[in-house]
Amino acid sequence: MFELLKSRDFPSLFGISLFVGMMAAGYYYNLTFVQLGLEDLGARLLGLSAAAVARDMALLALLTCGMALVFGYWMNRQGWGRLFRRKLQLSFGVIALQSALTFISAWLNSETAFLLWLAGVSLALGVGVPVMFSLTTDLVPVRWRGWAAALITALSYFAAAGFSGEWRFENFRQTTLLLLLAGLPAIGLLTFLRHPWLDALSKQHLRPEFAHGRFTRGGVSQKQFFGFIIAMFGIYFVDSLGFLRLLKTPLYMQSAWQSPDFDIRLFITATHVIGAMAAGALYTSLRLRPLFLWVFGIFALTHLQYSFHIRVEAESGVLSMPMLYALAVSLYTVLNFAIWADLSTPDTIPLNAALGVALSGWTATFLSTSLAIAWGEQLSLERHIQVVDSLAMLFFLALLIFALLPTRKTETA
Amino acid sequence: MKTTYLLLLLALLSLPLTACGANGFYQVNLITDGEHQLTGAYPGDLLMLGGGATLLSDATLQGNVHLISGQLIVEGQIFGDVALVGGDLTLGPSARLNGNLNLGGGTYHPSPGSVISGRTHTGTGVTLPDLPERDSTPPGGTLLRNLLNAFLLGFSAAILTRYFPHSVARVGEAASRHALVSGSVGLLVGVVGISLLVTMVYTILLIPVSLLGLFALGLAVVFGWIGLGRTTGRLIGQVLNRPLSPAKSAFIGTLVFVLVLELLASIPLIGDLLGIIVAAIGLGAVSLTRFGWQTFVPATKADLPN
Repeated sequence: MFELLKSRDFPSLFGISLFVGMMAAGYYYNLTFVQLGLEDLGARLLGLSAAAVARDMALLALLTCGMALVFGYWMNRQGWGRLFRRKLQLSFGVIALQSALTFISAWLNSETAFLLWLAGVSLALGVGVPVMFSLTTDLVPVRWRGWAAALITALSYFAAAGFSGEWRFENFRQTTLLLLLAGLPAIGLLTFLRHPWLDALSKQHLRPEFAHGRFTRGGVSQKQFFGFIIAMFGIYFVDSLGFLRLLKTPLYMQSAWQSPDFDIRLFITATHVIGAMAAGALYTSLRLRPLFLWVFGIFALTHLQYSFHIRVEAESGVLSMPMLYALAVSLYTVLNFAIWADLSTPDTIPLNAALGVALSGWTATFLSTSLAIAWGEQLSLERHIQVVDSLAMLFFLALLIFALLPTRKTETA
Repeated sequence: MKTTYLLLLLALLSLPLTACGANGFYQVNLITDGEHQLTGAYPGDLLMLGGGATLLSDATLQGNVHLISGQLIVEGQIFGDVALVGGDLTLGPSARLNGNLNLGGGTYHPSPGSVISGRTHTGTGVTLPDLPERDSTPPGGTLLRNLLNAFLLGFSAAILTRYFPHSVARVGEAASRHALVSGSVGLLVGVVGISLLVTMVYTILLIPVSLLGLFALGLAVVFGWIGLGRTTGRLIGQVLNRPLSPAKSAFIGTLVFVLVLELLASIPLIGDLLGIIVAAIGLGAVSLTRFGWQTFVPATKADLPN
């Protein structure tokens, strides 16, 4: 970044800042409004049963997944991955739709209306994923992708973990609406404005330092690409399956993410930020396998600590557990923001991002949400966390075996 | 051959998964806080580190009891030995102890009706020595201690550089040239390593492994400092424009580095933070170079377009 400042390359600097700002706002919306808020809206405000909320959320995930794949494929076919202005126009459309949907959410009063509204949210998210992620090849040079991902993660978790107040739909709606209404005119201005900086940004994808992702030099085989999808799927699955159960356990929420003590929330926020920055440094310097190993290893250790804690029937929470959790989450979020662009070129990024985010993130979330809700009634908390721990350990060991396999000379992952 | 090797490896690596099972060969009930009413049969030991527990009259414990801290009221039957190290032990009128009662510390309240079948040992356990309390550090004590630390580390650096010059050089290079990556890795290794070692302590059986791990972690931090000291020594040599032998350079560099570090660590508010950052960089450099056995090359050097 300092190099760009020193060389007075302000358009590139502006491009990176724009990308970080857009993605951080988008991820904050996803973390708070979508992941936490929608369940609260369905269960508390609309009075739906847990099974109905799970079913509706699963529908949201499936629709979003499908929409992202279809739109990513469409973008690839149309060659929109190379059209910066088209992507800005689409982003503007997505933000406008999200603003309208967030605004009208206060008037939802039945499950039918909720379902129709969810379909709209799916449409916005499904289009938003390939569009926003494909901006990476226009705005962020390969060598800064780890740092850009770190900044996105740090900013979004800083806002979500530290300053979201009580986890209620009304709070999330208010904050999200403010954010969207501030972003809408800004993106609108960029979409319709003609400025030399924007012209410069629209040609950046032609430069090799933007166009060829970090892992594309030796060519990315389908096997490798789907290997990463499986690894990311595992991470999302383990995270959601464990966290959704912890979310329903007041002891672990009140002593950590939902603690009335501001210092505790600040500590977790700081862990997220430090973890993200550390992940940024590691992403740019380490190979991917050690990073995946770290994530699975930390998840395995965290859930082991939770299962010990549950077994001894302790009555107060221990801060090391949410700390490790936050660290693992920050690490993998940075990976997720950088990896799909680094496995792509401007021609392939829309579909690759859609495949990566939709198949790993959304499918895993859909499956783990359904499973967590089902296990919530069938399994004890201790057994539930033990299974999550075993899964994390299994992924860790499987990855360790792959790490021992010889790698191709051109392969760095 | 490769498949057989992989399958064997998978089988071997999956063995730790057995740790996730609910029941093992050894069972222990650990109480750290809260109030607990124990009823029914307990097959393993009972270890109390805090909180309170009552072994009700219908309860039986097959194993031993180790009371380190907290309050234990026994109304039921214990088949093993009871060791009171700290906390309060009360034997109710219906308490039955089939093993020995070892009283090494804490407070013991027997009731007239309680029965102890084994022998009672009092005051024959390990007695902890009374450590003299130090109200204040003697004048010049801190300075002397810091100097001694610096000299000891300087000598260690000289010896290590004499016998393992390449390892020390690799660690120093990773710490100084890739400080950010080293710091990040060090932070992860430190935080996750300490959490893992503390978790091991709770299994009781792994306490020795945990202590060894803690020792290795400390050793890695010190080795990292020595690596950084070696780089400092080279810089000093360059500034003074005097060629120094590697061992001498490492000695002087480490001496100066440790003294400066101790000086910085004494600054209020930021001193501790600086200490943690430097320790993380050292630990990270040692981890990245596998204790100096390999040179650390950032992955992106090979990946990135020029």
